[in-house]
Amino acid sequence: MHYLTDPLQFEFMRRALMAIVLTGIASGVLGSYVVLRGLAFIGDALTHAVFPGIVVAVALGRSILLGALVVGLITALGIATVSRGRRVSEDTAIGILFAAMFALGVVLVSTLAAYQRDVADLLFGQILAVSQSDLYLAAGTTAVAVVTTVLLNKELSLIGFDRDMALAMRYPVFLLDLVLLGLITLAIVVSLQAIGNILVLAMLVTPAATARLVTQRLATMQLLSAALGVAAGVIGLYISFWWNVASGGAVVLTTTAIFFVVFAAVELGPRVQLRARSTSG
Amino acid sequence: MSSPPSAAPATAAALLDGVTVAYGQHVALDDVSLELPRSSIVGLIGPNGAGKTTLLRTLLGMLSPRSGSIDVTVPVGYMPQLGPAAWDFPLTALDVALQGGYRRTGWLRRPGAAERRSAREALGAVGLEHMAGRQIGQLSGGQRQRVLLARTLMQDASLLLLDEPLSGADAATEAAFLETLRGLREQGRTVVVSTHDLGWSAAHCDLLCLLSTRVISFGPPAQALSAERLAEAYGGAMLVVGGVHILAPEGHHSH
Ligand SMILES: Nc1ncnc2c1ncn2[C@@H]1O[C@H](COP(=O)(O)OP(=O)(O)OP(=O)(O)O)[C@@H](O)[C@H]1O
Ligand SMILES: [Mg+2]
Repeated sequence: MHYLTDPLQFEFMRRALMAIVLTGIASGVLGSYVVLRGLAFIGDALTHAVFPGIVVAVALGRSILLGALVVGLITALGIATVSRGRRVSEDTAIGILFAAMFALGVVLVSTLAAYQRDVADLLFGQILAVSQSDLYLAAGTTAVAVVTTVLLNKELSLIGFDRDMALAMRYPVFLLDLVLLGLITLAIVVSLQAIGNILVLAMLVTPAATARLVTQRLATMQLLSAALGVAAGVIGLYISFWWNVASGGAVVLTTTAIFFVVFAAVELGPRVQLRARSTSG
Repeated sequence: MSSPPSAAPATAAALLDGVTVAYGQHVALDDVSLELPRSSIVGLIGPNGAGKTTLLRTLLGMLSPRSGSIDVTVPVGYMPQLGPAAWDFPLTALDVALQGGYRRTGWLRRPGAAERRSAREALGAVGLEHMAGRQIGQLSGGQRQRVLLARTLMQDASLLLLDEPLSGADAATEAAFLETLRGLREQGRTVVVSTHDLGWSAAHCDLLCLLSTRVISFGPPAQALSAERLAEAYGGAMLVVGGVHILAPEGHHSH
């Protein structure tokens, strides 16, 4: 019992738990679209692209979440424009452009020696340093991301399933693509402080991929994915508290472990049943 | 659906006049003039690349013509050529059928009980009511086609544009399709079906449009499918065996 309650006497730990719960919800819900639409690469590009925004925000003493948000949304607009035709060569363009953005961040960091430690925290996550105002911003961002996704779910799923039909029904498909990338950016921004820039993608992909293994319904997948993200976040945070390891890494390893357990159960389950039936028959 | 009677003859669902559509430099439709009457099944035939899909997309307003005018007087529904959809999406057959009514449902709202009921009816009309809860990717090719047709029915349009709805369909699916199309015609709707099946289109369509960038012929099947017209559209020699046209490789002569 103490293992669960002891950490809660610390203010920073209560905030960290809130932050990780918000991360799990936002990246779980949006991660479903990342997985279903094969946007992992674009998600990765987005996480890299927000890095210079973070660096500049730190240098200016502004909220890093705000810095990431501004640069992320501009980047989302860039990606949506570049990927309009969804061609391989454009994948390459995205790869080139956003590796460059990350490099820009690295160069900026090296010129701002005083901030190097702060920025390193953001690459790997520093959930124990979440401030009250960070938490408010994260909560607001999560609310906007989740509510917008739920409200646009039928249009977003139509586009994901059959883009041609969405166009024929005269939906503003480009605009909705842009909105989706913007929402994914919001989820990334929420996760930044808790998980760190480098590992954010795992929170977008792994819980959703796990949920997809066990359900054939979009809404169920989104709910389950959020629940798995929250569970992995909380478990990972406790692990990081008691074993004194980096929170981002602990959370991501937990969600990965859950994925493999579910994967094994789904893959082996029917086979074991079949074998049981064939031996008993 | 109260269109001014002066806009087009009361019998036409759509009117194209001298429509030319190009992708960049490539002209896909050249000077196409057509009148699609109400209460009819119109077959759209022509070789690969003839511009069938382009014509349907132009009627939908997805492409704008370089020249000419288009007058579509009724709501339009669409069934895309099978292929680009992401079949592993976690949607059931019922979810996909419901998509056809999304525009009616409107932004920010979820389909209500009435919509769900009509979606079930639409699935019933194509003989798939018992598959409503099945994930769309776990249906066979012909069953997926039927779900897409159900979705098109859900659009409740008066001009239905079906792009190769019969490719990969077995006899039972084909029969179910035909029955559905005839029902739509009964209701005064216009159905345009693009197909590569000359025999099917000759047997079941009221009008045929033989397309090869230009309109080669347009009219009742017997008139539209003369051997010369077919040869003109398909570019090869036509063999006529027992009243059935067969495409033969260019230069083929049996004597
Ligand atoms: N998006 C596009 N960009 C450029 N050219 C295109 C595009 N879509 C079609 N075309 C060209 O326009 C012409 C007509 O294409 P369309 O798809 O309308 O033919 P189709 O009659 O539907 O053929 P199929 O029987 O193979 O479906 C073809 O020559 C094709 O190469
Ligand atoms: Mg086509």
